[in-house]
Amino acid sequence: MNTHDHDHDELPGDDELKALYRSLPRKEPSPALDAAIKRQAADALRGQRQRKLTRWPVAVASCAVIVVAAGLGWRMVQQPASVPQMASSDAVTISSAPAKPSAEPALAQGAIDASTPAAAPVAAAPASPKRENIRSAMKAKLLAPSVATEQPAPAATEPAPMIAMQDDRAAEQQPVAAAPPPPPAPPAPVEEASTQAAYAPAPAPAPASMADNHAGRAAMTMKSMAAPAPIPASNDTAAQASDTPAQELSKIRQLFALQRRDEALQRLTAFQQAHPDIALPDDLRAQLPAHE
Amino acid sequence: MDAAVDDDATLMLAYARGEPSAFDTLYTRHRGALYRFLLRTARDPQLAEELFQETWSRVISSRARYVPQAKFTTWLLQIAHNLLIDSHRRKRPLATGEEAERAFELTASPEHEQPEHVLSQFERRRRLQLAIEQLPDEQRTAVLLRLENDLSVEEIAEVTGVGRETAKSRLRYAMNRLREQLAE
Repeated sequence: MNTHDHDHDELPGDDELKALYRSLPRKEPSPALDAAIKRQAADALRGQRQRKLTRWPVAVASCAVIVVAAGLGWRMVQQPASVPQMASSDAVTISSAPAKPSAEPALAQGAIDASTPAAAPVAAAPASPKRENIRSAMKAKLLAPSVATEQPAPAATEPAPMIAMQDDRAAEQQPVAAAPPPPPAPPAPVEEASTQAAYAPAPAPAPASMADNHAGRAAMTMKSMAAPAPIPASNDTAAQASDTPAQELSKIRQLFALQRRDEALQRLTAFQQAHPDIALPDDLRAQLPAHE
Repeated sequence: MDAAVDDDATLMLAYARGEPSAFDTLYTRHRGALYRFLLRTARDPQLAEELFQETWSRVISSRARYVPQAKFTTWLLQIAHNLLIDSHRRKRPLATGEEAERAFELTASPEHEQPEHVLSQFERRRRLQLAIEQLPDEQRTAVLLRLENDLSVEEIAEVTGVGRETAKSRLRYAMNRLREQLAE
């Protein structure tokens, strides 16, 4: 340990005192204490190695979770495309059921394209209809309040039953080209039926308004899903990995000020463990429970 | 940092990378001086052992975060000093002067000294021990860091968390007290 040059720190009698001090008994830690500390050091390394060995499954699992999350995210991004089918999930099933969408009558296809351009990929997609049903059902739940309050909402839900009816007709006319006819659509609610009757004779103005509605609803859907949760007030005191020791101590002080003593003490203890070389300020040291 | 310090830091980094032998070397190099510093500062052999073990525990648990910014010795003594201050808060009854003196005298004196010389040296050592014992905590810490660990004033200031002038003042006052006690 004696490595420093004291040329600039010479104090009177320094050498004499040092010489006398060195003649004092040179007491040393017991062999048992030495062994305990060395064992602790070796155990710490062993634990470190074991943690490293068991880390790869965690990494693989993390990658898998990321892939699944990315897939879900991608599906969520595509979700607005299926908004028009939300009122009747069975209609979606019907419109996507045919094995060969290209074999559908041009009229029906045209109607889909004109009225719901965003819905086209969904209607033509060979994806499993069940998944579409689940998604539509989820969306219906999410959008239920807005559907109930907004007047033009039913218009957006109309095309699906109409397409289904047209599909039925087309299937009757071309039984060979089309897949087995889909099951008949379930009876629509009374309100839906009435709005359908009202809008059916004049479908022309509908596409524009529906497109607007789709865009607006899609935006709402995205908002409701993507809107960040309100930041709790406690985030100001949350520990960040990038915090400097001074910042962490400041946050611990805030916790004490907020009467969150248990959390503050926990953080203070963790701070002592993480920075054993940093002396605690007196005010925080005084908060530590006295032992014995 | 000089060569020896670099060597200590290198050993600590090697231990952090997973070389147990590096820790053994480091421990062997610093164990005696650290133990005596704690023993004479805490004035309680049992407490000194606890603090000694706890200091090394902190070193072990901090190995991954260790950055050689200062001398390893300074860092090690900072940890020990912080633990000492914490232990003072615990109001543990300190060893009496006699107990502390017994603790210092456990090791046998060299046998090659002549009886008169031994008596004289024994008396001087006893006086030094008592004088150190009677110093206020802060001065005792400063003078032990100087005599036992051979730290500079700047390093004492760093370990104890005070300014250079404060550290120098404590050290000067403590050494004057020791010299006075020895001259009586």
